[in-house]
Amino acid sequence: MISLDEFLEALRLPLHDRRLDSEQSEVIAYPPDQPLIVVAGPGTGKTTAIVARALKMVFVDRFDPASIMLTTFTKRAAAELRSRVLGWGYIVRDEFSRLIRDEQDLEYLSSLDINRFITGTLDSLAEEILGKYRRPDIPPPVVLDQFVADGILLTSGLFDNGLFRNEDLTAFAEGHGYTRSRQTNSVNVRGLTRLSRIYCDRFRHDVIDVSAFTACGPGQAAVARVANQYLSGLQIRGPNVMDFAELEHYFLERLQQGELSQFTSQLKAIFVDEFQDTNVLQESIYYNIARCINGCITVVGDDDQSLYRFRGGTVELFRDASPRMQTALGITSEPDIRYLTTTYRAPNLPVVFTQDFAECDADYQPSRVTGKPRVQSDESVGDGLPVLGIFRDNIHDLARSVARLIGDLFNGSGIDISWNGENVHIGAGADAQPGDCAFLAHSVREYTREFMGQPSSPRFPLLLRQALLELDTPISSFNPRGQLLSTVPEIAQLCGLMLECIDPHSIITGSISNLPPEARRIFREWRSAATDIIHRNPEPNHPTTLEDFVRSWQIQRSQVTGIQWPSELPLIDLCYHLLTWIPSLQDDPERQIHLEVVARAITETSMLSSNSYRSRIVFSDIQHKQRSVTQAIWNIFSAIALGDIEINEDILETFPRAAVNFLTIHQAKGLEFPIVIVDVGAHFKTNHRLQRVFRFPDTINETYLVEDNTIPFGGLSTASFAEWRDRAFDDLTRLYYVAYSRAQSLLVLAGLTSVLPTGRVPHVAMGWTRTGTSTWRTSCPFLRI
Amino acid sequence: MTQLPVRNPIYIVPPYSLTGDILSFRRCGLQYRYLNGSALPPSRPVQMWFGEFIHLVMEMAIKNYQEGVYGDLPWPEEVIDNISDIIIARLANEGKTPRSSRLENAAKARVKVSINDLGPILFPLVSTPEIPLSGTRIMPQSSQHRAEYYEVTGRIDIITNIQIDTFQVGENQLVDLIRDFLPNRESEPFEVIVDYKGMRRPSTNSQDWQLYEWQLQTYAWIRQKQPSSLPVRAGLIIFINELRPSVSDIRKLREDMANNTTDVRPANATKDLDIVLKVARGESPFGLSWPFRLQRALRLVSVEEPDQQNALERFDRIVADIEDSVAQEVENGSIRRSWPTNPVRETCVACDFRGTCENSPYRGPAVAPLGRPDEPSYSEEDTY
Repeated sequence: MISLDEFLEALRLPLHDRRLDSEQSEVIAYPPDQPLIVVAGPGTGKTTAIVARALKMVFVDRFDPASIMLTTFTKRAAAELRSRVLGWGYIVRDEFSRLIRDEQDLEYLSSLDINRFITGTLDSLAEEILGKYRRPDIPPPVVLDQFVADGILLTSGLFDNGLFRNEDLTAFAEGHGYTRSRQTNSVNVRGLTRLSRIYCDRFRHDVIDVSAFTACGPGQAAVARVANQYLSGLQIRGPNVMDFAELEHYFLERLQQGELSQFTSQLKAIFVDEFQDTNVLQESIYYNIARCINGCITVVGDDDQSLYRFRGGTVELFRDASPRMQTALGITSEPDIRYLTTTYRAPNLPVVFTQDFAECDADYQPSRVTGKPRVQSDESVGDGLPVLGIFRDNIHDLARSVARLIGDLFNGSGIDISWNGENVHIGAGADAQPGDCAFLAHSVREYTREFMGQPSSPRFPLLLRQALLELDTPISSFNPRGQLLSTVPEIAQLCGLMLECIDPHSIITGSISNLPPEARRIFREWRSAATDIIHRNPEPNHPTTLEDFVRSWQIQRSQVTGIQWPSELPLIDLCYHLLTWIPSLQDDPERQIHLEVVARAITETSMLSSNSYRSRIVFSDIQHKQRSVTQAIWNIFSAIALGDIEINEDILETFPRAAVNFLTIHQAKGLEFPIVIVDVGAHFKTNHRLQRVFRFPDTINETYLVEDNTIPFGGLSTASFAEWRDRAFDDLTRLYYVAYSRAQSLLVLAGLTSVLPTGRVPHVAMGWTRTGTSTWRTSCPFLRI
Repeated sequence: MTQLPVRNPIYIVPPYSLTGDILSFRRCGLQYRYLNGSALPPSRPVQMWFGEFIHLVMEMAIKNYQEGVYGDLPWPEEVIDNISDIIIARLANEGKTPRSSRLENAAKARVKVSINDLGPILFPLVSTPEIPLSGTRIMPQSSQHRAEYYEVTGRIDIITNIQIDTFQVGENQLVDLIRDFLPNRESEPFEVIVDYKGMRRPSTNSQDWQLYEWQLQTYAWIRQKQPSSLPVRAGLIIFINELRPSVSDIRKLREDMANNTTDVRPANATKDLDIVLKVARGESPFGLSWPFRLQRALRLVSVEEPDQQNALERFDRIVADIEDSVAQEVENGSIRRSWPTNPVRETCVACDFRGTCENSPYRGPAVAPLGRPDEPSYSEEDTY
């Protein structure tokens, strides 16, 4: 038999000879058959601890790897979890195989199949388990992409029975901050779709009693009706067609009805990472599974890093995990909590800064796990560098200064700062590249959205991108989510060329009466971009040209003798044929991500409607052509123009090393970078009321309003929740806590001087508390440069 | 001076699917980058759709067979059509549709043969359908690789559990074939791994011919690590098109016969040879005998230890090549300069990115409506 000590010793090999600290060791050694809650600060080795605990169950306690399930919140985190289980598991197994002489132990080791650990996101596992453990007459679930599900919400939920014109729904939406159009006297359908989506998901995620909710008022009844029509819309698209919320609901039902007993009977332990982002439905799934395996559950998380309330994440479940788990599992005492408090990510100064930030607002403390100890840096790492601050009077100077700092670090001789009376020189090593630096912001959009007739204008990420390119030695940046897809020059050319081919002179577009004006304007810009590229006669232009190709489409006459123009053609064909003249879409990784979104829009749209032309242009007669082009303009081009299709976060797995990475704080969660620059107020010149929601909330916004409306009808006591304003402040504190804790070495705050603690614009990120003062006013915790 | 550290690479054991990644990259690295790296949907996912369709229909059919839902084979055509329609709807909901109703009808006709003609000899041997596979391999040495290990994944369509001496000679054609292929294995229970391919039998000098053999050997290596497995003695590839070939399949068979690149040809002076030589465009190749079609559809592969090791080492090298390309793209920021091309006419002809690919024989301006002047028109895609 392998002992715990022998296992911990062998584990030093994949950990590159690093010993686990006493807190991590305690988590690993905790009895495998008892529930455990682990509260782990950033960089404290939470993944290390749970992977080691899972592997310990295999090597020491002899659990079959196939009986252990590890799940987490994002695909990226799940991939990392699996990588560590496999990588470390095989190193430890091979090490024991080398050292051990006992034949029984050797036989056990040789029979181990580490790959059989069950890992994944809850959604991916639910889909897989439901597919595998089902009766032959029940089809496996078909889970729709969010974009497609939203399309069905629009068509079945809002358009069926004309609910989008329902006065109760419109008034309900107005109460959530949506504005009524003077022309139509209703809220636009995009707004209604967005609001309905939030409620549909909430109904499922929070296990809401929809009948009781409906009885609250006509607006509630209207949105519940939309949700009901939407569910019917999913059902008519085929058996077991569902969205992600419905998938989890369906999975829970199967568990509760014992239909997955074949699966649960094989299971012995479950691990849940990032538990702070769990919702009520997911919590119920985890505890149902845990009940089936005698409470052998380990949950891990950090309440300070909970960022997903807007998606249904309920941090209160983690804060109160111990009593809730006791009740759910029916055990006699509350499960133990273990804390991981030593961070290995960063040295002392940035860690102290981050922890002080979490503690600076007394009103934030009740929302945290009770008795949570302070995170400290590993003693051996030293003090490191102070946190720096770059604050300038205007956004242009700020962009130039931040760019200069990055340029000096990566291209120049480094920078000098004066700290504690000494001159400190900071420089990047010979192997360093701009990809070692991340710029984090609440939003990395390069342009503002058009609003109430106001044109879009440049935002800080664009100015920083430009300033980096203007350096003596230019530095590029990687920001695929920064640009509105419709404004990316190559996408404008591609979409414009497609429109020119299928609808020359905008005749069909012009006949669509209710197309949003913004979409119409963007189509004009695209067509203009198309005309420009046609006039430039790009290569390849022999023996035929782009102009020849477009004209041929416009008049539907084949360029090849003897080939008739077909009766129908898929739009995706046209898209790919046009790529011939826009080579950067095929070579630049960032542009490739943009092309993927366009191609996805074209192919996935085909599922939106049962009588759809399925993204084909039909030429058989004028009516079909008119209808098929109209459908493409509505479902595809309008969706791209109005930004309804998001870049998939999972695409962004590999960051180029040669470019500075621009990331939202949400995207950066779970990542770390040697240099982190956080936008703490590049746009906050005045205390403008519309910006307060992002820094010092004083008006309830949609997220908290929906939560307040639904909580009374869910499975949670309203007493678990603070007032909306406290929740809003708490969430902002968590957001910047996550941002500040991403830095491994150098943390830089960047903003306008107006947000300085002594300035006139209050901002939680700058130490302001909800009482209206900044705790940093008297003692500034960063060094201005 | 305080020197800033370099960013630690994220610890990753990259997963590689045998069919989705390794075989695709081997066909063409650049095309793989577009279709798998970026998830760009191919404009003509004919084989992809048919491949998924056949797998899902057969899985459902086998489950129903094992549960006795529709009784003994053959089943009424309506039953099979009903299963097909459920799967077609499911694929459509995933955004996967056949390019034409002709392809859909051909696919439905092929599954009828697969279930009602092949099923009676295949289904009774099935112990488990659809087994997910996962194994871990050491990453081949190279400075550019981001991981020490990689995970190889796959999915076995069927495991058959066979003990030959429990069958009389002539009782089951498939067992007879295996008996001939594996002499001296009569009394030992063993497994045969079965993999469907929604395609014709490839030419013996083609890349696919070799790759599919390596695929089964790798599956066997992983399968044997699973606790529940019996010894795996052979792999069986079923080329579904051959059960009901199209005119273009027969045309390609004629080419293979002329080039001596097929191992299964009709015997001299048979009706099968007559049909193969005479069938022309617009005609249906009905009338080919069942034994000939079955022989064309089945390929047995030996899975001995040295063959497995050879296959695994080949795949290790392909994974190393993929990792090199990933690393190069991260370093130089150019897709085209980082991923190798493989300008084989049959791969390039269906590639959506051939117009600007430097090595493609189809490089040049697109031509309306179908892309290239020498591209087959849709009506010629296949005739059944």
